[in-house]
Amino acid sequence: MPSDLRRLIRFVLPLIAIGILVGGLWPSTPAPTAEERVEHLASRIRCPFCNGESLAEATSQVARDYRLVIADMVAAGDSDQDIYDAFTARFGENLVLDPPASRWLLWAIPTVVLSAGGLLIVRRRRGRGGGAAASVGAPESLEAALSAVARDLDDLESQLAADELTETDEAGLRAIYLAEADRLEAALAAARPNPTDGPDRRRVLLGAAILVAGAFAITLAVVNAAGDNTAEGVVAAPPIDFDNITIEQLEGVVADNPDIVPMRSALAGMLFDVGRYDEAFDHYWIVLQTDPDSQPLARVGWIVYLLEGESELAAGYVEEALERRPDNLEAMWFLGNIRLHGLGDGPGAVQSFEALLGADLTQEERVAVTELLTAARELAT
Amino acid sequence: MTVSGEISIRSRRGISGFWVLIGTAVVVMVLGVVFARRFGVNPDVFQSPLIGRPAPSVVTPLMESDGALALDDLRGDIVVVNFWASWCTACRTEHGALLSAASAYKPFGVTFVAVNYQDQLPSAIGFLDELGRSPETVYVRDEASRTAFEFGVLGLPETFFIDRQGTIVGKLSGPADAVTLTDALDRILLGATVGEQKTGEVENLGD
Repeated sequence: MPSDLRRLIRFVLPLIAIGILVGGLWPSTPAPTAEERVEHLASRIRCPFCNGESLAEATSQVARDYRLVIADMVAAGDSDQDIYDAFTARFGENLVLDPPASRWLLWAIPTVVLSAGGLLIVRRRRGRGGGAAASVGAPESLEAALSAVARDLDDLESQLAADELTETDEAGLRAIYLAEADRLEAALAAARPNPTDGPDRRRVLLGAAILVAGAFAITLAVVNAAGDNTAEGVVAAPPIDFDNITIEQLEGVVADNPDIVPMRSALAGMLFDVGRYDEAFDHYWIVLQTDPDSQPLARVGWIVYLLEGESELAAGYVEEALERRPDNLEAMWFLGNIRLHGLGDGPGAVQSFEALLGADLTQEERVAVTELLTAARELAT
Repeated sequence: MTVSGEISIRSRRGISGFWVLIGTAVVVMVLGVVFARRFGVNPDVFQSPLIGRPAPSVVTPLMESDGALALDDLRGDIVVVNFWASWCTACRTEHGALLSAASAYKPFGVTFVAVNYQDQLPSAIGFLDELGRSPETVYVRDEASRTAFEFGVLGLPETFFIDRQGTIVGKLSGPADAVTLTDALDRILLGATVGEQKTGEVENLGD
């Protein structure tokens, strides 16, 4: 056979083999009928509940329901990709049993490792075939052959002693056997680990250990640097300090949710607490349109008194607030102050402050109210 | 002759051994990174891809009366969609917290929707008779698991949060408790997101 033809065959045969392999592994085209398409798709989509079973294998009611979902989508004329997308958009990429092409590492690593291994074997073979002085054999068979030759040499001497051989024949045979023994010894030396390999091997082992340790360290570093996609794939939102929400934050929320009264009320309260009375008034006023509650009413009255000096109007608001909730201590305090300083109503102020002292107050509050009561009594007399 | 042959074999081996080691180290490293990145990630726990996406426009029948609920009709409210069943033990654990939160957050424009999933109607009604109903919650049935499919439900109980614009902003898998619910709803009221939180194991029929 001409060597060109042989080379051609050597080149073409692997191609054919690869072709057959790829053809066998290539996913078969989807079946034409609707039922077959549903079955095919169900076998490629993982049942989200069923321990790795596909929707086709699983027998649970959910799997049956989801097969119906697929059937409906097939009937509606959706493509296979549409259906995969519908599932992955709701359950995540893991649901489709075919590894997506984006996981290229999964495909690339075995390919690279296998080709590298194959290449290595080929190179080894070639290296041995050309380089070794002796034919390659396992050390055990070489040793056996060597001892056979040694036995032959022993036999030679006994045969010579028994006069079964002439000296010339014996010398010829001995030369042949010795040459054979040399050849085998050399081959054995090549095949067998040489005693002088010792320190070399230790160095290789040390190198390997260093490499593995280095690889391990780099791996850890990369994994740590890659950050925290661990912890069961759970994404928690950054913490919000609910005790320290700023007025600006709350103003934004109220602007976005203008009809949520409790939030507007909370914002008005924060503004009131820091003395931004006119802004607080605007919010309380809106709150009062839907929720004429005691606290906003009393505070509106207090702000009217503080900013406008309209004592009678202010007292009216606060009194109504107290009618709605007679235990509104803040309103009592407001009313006492308005009566004392705004209206000059001594007896009224005394009445308010006395009622306040009857309530549960802190020591500090009690001192302040007592002072005001004294002032009110002076005014009354 | 034999000596030089031996040396040539040994030196060739030394070089290829070195490269084999390097190659092995590189492969080990790459595999290590790939696998180590999956440590702590349970492949059975899917991260919901729905967070940040518009809530599905599901229409689902009411549980104890005629008529249906269209989720889109609740747009403008913050909506809490809870999936439950009478066979789910963790659903018993969380029931009280859901009732309280539904009532506490009603004034803030929050509506709770309880979706009864993969259940027998009499058992579901028995569950509510025993543990209580919330007047602020809409109880619906999940026909043929369509609502669960739309929400990508992976087990019970699961709770989804939808903001006023109709975007899914959070998900709890496992039983909800009062603190988690309050925290999540306060965040959403402030316009923040919630993300996904695992509060415990979820259950499935046939587990």
